[in-house]
Amino acid sequence: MMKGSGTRFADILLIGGLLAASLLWLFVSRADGTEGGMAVVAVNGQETGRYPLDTEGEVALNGGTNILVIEDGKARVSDADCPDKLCVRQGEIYRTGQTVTCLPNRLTVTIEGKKGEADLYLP
Amino acid sequence: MQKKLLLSLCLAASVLLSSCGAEETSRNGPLSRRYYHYFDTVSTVYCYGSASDEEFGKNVDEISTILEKYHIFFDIYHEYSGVTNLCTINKNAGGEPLAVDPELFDFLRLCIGLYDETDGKMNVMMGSVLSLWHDCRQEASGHPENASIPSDERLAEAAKHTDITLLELDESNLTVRISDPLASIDVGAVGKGYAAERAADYLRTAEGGENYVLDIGGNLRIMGAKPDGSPYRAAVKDPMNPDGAAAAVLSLEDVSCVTSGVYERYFTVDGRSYHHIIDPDTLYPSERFLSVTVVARDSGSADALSTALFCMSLEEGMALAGERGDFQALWITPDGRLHMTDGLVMAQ
Amino acid sequence: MKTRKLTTLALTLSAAMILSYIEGTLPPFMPLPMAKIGLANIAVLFALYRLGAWEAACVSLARVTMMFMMFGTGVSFIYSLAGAAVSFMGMALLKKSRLFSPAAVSVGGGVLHNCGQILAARFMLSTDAVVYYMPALMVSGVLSGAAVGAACSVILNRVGVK
Repeated sequence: MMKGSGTRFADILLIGGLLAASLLWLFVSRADGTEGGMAVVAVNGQETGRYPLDTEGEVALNGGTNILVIEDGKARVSDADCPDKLCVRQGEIYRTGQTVTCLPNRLTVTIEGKKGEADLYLP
Repeated sequence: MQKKLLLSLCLAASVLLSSCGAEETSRNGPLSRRYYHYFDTVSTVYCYGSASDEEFGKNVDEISTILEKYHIFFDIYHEYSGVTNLCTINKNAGGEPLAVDPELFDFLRLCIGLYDETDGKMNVMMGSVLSLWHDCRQEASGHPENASIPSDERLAEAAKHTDITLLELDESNLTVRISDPLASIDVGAVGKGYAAERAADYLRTAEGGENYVLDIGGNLRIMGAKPDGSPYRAAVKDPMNPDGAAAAVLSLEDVSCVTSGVYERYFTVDGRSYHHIIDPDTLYPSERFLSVTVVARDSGSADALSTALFCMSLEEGMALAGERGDFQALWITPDGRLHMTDGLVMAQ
Repeated sequence: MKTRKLTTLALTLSAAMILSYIEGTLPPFMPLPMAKIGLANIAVLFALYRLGAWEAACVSLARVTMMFMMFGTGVSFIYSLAGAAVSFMGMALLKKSRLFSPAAVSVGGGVLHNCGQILAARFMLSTDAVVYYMPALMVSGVLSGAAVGAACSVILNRVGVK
């Protein structure tokens, strides 16, 4: 062990603490979402569209930089012109709070709850 | 030493992360299954309770079988081999009596009862008139430039073949016959609700059948309260802005609820829109309301009443509700105002 | 002695840039935006222990700036800079406390790097939606920080701190 490089106890406390805190946050944030009703698309923070999850279809977003697909009550980005395609790899989202972000295109797709506070919707 | 520590931390983290992945797919909110092919509309079965995936799977399979059965019975456009359905009965109009499944017979008997209960506003023998409107709606959706409405002569002619007594039921032989070759049966206004109620019958005795909500093409059949004991909150659309905020949110528990609205199925001719709820008296889409919502125990009744109330004045409808006392209703008039029976409970 | 230090600094910066470049060619290891191993942090951490805080800051800033000038786009520069700045300040403080080993300092830096990027994204995209990634990115930061720390510890053990 190098001199002046700290104690193992402090290390464990820091690493363990950070890991525990982040995992706890991860669990809590992933557990509290309910089934969402709407995929909300924003470019540069400006909302550009809302798409109900109970419809099916394909939409070109942001002038075609990203393609949003809504299917089986879930939303995903099926194609994008960004180099890393991380938005595509983030897969399907369907619970409130879940987000797909395309940083290069400054675009976010966020799941919001169904409109209003109702459980059920009449035709 | 340090490397070992880091290695074990990484391992622990990856184990936790992978269990986290499983959490992602676990359930939050109701289990649900959706069907797109019954009654030409979307049906969803929700289970808000704690049923296991296996129980839910078994129950939705059973419900699907029931819906399929009634879908086939009520289909007026297709015949199915080995089944006498409404299409068979319509094609055979004017011919010999046909033996039908006792379940279809029960339903048709109920339809005749509904005619009397609603003073003829809910008439399943309107097939000849409804098909004229249906054909125009189909044509308009395929070729909007050709959109037209049925001529008054054709409507008047068709209306001569809509008497409920043209539907002859033989109780002893369980046979059905339409005595007029130009008459036909159409149960679009009651069939989905009836099927929903039959699915509810199944759930009442099924294992793990608690806390279900059936949405059969917009006919909500709510079984009991939410698992926490509170009532469900059901949103009624604002007909002026169907995609916007709800016009009202109803508090519902162990009941059926359905809305008939002008915005559901319609077509446009020369800027005027024609929806699917045809008044048996005028033979035209009813202009009285934008939507009518009915809350009743029985889903079949709720479905039929929403159509019947649509074709009555508000006063007649209120009177019917007062007289029967077994349903509540919410009317939205063309001026956007809400009218409701006293017993209707709004969610807070 | 000064020349020797300058040479080490230059070599470390070159190493940082090469590591940065190598990382750029790797596919993302998690389907999360901004989740990176942060290989270049090996060099920054090395500089922090071998050369000192100011020198390490130079390596970090110069790496981000030069990578941007050679390969970058405007947006990625802002994220990299925000992440690197927050991460470096955190690591310098953690080291100064003399409580932690280089590995733990690196873990702290990894987490803070991701926090800094999220904050930048929050401002760039003006939406709180990106905070959704924070917990997952923090976990990723701990893991990648540990990996970087382990790698750097091996080097420091061979070369020795200043």
